[in-house]
Amino acid sequence: MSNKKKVIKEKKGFLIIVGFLAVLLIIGVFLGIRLNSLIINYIESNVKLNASELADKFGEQIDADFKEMTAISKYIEKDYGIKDRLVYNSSVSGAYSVMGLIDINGETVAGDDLNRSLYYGVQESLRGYKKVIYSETEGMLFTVPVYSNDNVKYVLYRLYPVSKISDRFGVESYGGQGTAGVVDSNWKLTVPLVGAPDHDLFYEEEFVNTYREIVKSLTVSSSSAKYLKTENGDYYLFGADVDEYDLRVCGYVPKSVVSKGISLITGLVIWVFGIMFLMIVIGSAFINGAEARYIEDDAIKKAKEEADKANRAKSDFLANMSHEIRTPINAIMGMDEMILRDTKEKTTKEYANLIKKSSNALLILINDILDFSKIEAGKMELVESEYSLSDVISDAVNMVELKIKQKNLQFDIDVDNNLPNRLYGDGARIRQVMVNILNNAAKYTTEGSVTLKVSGEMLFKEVKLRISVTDTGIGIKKDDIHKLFSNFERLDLKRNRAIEGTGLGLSLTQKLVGLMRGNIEVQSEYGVGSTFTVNIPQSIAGDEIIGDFYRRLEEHKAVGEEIKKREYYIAPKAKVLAVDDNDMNLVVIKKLLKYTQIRVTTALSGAECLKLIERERFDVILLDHMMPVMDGVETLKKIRSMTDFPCESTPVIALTANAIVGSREKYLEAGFDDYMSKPVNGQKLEELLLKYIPSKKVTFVTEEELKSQNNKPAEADSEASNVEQAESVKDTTPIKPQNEVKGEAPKAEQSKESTSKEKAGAKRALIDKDVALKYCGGIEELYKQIIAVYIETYDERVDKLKKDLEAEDFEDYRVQVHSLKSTSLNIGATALSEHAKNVEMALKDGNTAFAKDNHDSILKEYEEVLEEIKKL
Amino acid sequence: MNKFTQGIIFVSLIMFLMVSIVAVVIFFGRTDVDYSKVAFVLNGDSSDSGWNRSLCNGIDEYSESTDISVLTEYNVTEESGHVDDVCEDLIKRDAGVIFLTSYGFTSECKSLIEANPGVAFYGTSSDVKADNYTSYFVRYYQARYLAGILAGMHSKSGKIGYVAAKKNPQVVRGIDAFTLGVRNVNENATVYVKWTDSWSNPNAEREAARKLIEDVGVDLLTYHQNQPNVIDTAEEYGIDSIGYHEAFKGYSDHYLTSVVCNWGALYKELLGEDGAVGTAKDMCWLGLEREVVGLSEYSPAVSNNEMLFIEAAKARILSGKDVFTGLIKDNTGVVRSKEGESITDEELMNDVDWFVEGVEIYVK
Repeated sequence: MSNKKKVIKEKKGFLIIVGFLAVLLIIGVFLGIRLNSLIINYIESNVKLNASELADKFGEQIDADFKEMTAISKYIEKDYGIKDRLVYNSSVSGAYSVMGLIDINGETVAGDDLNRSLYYGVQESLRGYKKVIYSETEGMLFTVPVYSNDNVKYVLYRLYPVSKISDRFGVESYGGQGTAGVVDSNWKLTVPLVGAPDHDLFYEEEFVNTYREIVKSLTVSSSSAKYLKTENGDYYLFGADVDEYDLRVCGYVPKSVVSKGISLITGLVIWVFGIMFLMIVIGSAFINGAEARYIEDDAIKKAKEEADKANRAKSDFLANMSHEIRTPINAIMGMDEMILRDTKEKTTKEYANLIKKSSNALLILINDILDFSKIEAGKMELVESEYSLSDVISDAVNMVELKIKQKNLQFDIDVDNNLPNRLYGDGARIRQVMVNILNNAAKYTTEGSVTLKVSGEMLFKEVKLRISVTDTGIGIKKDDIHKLFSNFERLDLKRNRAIEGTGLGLSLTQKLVGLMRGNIEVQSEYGVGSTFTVNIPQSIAGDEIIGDFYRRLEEHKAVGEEIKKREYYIAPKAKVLAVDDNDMNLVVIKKLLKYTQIRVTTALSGAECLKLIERERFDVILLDHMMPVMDGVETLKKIRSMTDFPCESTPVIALTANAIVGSREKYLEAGFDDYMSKPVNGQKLEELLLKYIPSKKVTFVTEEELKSQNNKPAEADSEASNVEQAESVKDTTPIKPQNEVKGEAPKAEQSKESTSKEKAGAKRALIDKDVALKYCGGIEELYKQIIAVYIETYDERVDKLKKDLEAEDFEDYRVQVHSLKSTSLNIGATALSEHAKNVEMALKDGNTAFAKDNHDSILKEYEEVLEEIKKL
Repeated sequence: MNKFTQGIIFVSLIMFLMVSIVAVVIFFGRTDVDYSKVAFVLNGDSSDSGWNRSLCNGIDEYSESTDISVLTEYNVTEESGHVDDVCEDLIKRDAGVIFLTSYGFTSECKSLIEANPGVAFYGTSSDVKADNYTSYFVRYYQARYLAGILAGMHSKSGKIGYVAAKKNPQVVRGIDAFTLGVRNVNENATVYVKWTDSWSNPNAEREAARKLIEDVGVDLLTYHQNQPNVIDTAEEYGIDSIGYHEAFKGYSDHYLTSVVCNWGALYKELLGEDGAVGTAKDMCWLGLEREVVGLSEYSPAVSNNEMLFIEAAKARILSGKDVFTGLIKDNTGVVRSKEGESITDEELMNDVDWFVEGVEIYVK
């Protein structure tokens, strides 16, 4: 990651954290405000309760007065005479008040006349109510009805003059720290405020407004309190109904008095929130740090990925290289086999034998490298099945026996008779391990013996195979033992310079053993010899024991001869569809299957394939992977998504030039039924098809029958006759086409080549036959075929190219050009191929103008090439 | 910023937001009720002349003279179970005060009133006792008394008809107050009462009026019904009538006046100018002293003399001597109030079931 990017990312992270904190802060402020209001609510409800209590207390005082008056009224009801004494005895509850009696006409029966402003109270009592009213000038008037039966006859009143009200009814709140009074329904103070205010706040506008709110609340509640913030301090205002009487206790109390202690809660919450804030800051910092580490880890991971990629590239390279090398080796070996078979000259045979030996060594090496690349890529998988242990040992012995004996070493074999013979596992890999350590022993031993000892430890259904190879070779220095299994490492170079090898053998062996859950031990004494012991657990698949191994070895040699024979079959009713964008490949497949008489239909593209399978039933579809426009995998997907067509159950086999490890799995995973690597080997193709072609369509034949069968159709097909005759079915050399080259073929090729060179003269640049032959595995016959196809397809291709250009169908144009590129290269028309490639590339980039500009020139060149090739 | 950190921060933010939203929902619920949103629930609408139209007029008057925003729910039928839903809906619409204008609504809403202690309810029934419920009543009887004085003076035959729905304290004290007024100016006059057994039954009302006119020979009719059907009949016969609830238009001069309640003034009295409540009490019984009840505009047929008598009676009441004071005998001769006595509100509100001297129940 670049620093700049990192900085930006860090900045972004920082911003997010800052944003987060900002949100937190806002929430904090928000909650703070809310908390404050909750506290205010809480205090309000406390003040409210207090106001209720004050109102109750005041109510009780009033009740006490009314009780007294009601008692007096009862006396009056019983004996109206009492009224005369009443007036003079008005100091019943202290000398503060005057009492009197008024009749329903408003006449004063006893006591002083009342001021008219107080008459409202009298009227209420006439209706049967106890009433307290207030007049600013007269004071507080208590009235109670005096009954005659159910009707009111008089009203008894008691008047407290203004000056006396406070003393008697003053409402003390909060121990004198609050200010409280009593108001009537018009919010006039009935009982003056009691308290210690510096100046009377009660009638200040803010207060009045707040009291209005309180009055509203009193509609639904008997008491209420409100918080008020003023310039002169914060107050809680309160009001409470006095039951039964149309009066209210109201007042105010400074905030400091009621919120003592409670304000600490705010502090506490702020503190807690602060800590939370801090924790989040620290947490964010930590996360940031973790992120930084994560980024570092990321970098490491990326570096590792890159290294892995490089390693993969290396493995790929190895795999590709080995694949590339194998092809010529196969050619060499095939040729050599020819020479060995045909020549009678002794020295030639000797040379040929040497070539064979070297080739084999090279092939093994290449295979090792391939295996190694597989293991490196983690793509090596064990192919487990039931196998015969004796066969595996026999194979290994056979493979190394000669080498050991050639070195005049003694080869001792000691196989435990009681070992189970039927085992389950990857026998081929076990054999490979065995061969590797035997080879290793043979390599480093100049005199003495090599001893192979196979024993085992039985554990229920498993046997722990113990394969040990002891040699009397040069041994290994103690310091070097740990280097033994490292890749490409060779020990004691000075001394071992003469010894062949890549240094890969033991490393590979160890990896294979590890893969099979086994281990490998080395005991060695420098200059005396070494013992390599391999322990591999294998499952036991049967009761059979090995018994006498030597007898088994003999038997195995005999069987091996038989196995080499191959099965021949014809299947004239079988139909195979081969799909490849390169018609050369299609020709090869057709030719390879000629002897089986299988009917091969070909398609040059995925689209064509889809069209064909919709209409026609095939037994097998061979589908190339690398095709332009729609590749094999894509085509397969389309095939699998199709329904109700004749090829619904037809197996599809992938053909690919990818020889890399894991290809098989990849293709099977993609939905292919099987997989085959190119170049296609005739025998393998036949074997593969045998698996998928319905058995009723297959007729097994002997070698002779096959020959005679094929001679007939061969006559019709003069072009291929040469090939058919050349088919040497006995030969099992891997690359079949080489078999076709027989006897004088190389000579003919040479002569032809020389003549073509002469003829071509100045136009030689058009076709490079060397290149062409290279692509045809040096087989002149194949080359001829390819040329024939090339000529055949000319008209069609030119036609298509022209049409595509006209219709501006550059997608198809590109396909055609792509095909032209490959086929031209196959016939050695390198310049044309290059030209076509350029056009293809341009089209890939969407550069249609280039294609248009080159259309004529490419057609012209194509024509020239065609003319040239016809001469051949 | 890698995805891990982004994820953590994102999740944290989301969680925090959720927590704060929950906090807001929990702590920031509706606290203050908006008392300046006053709702009225009626069992009819303004097309319903008489009772409901008078309410509608009062509501209009109140809402026009204040800044109060008024919500109304018309045509809510009593005992239909709808009033609960209607009130709940009003509360959802933030009504702070709800007037249940029909007597039966209150008891139907009892649990709703208790469940919404922040909402102030007003109703014309004292069936519910709650801090947030205020029952209000109108001293219609005072206006009935004034109407009685007019009737007593206006009637030539001294036979006055009174079509009434049902015998309950409200109706009885209306009849009594009316008769006291009549008797106050005409000691020999008789008030003939005919029951219809229904608050609203045009046919029965007309039939009752017709009977009183034809059979009894009354020359002035009044009534205690929801609609002014009695006036229609009086007009047909060309006799005098006094209405109820509303000042009606389009009648002849024989339609003298109506006993009315000034609902607009009542609402203002109860709620104040801004929806605050001035006189929150368990019970409000408002009358002449607050100018809540009275007689509507007189017909030209009402003489100055009659008006003077009415004003004098009004003044007497306002001076503290209410209708039911002094010597009152019932029509069986029992003295209900002696000279110098006054009948209590308690009796008038709940117990009065007797008719004063001068009332005759016409049962044919």
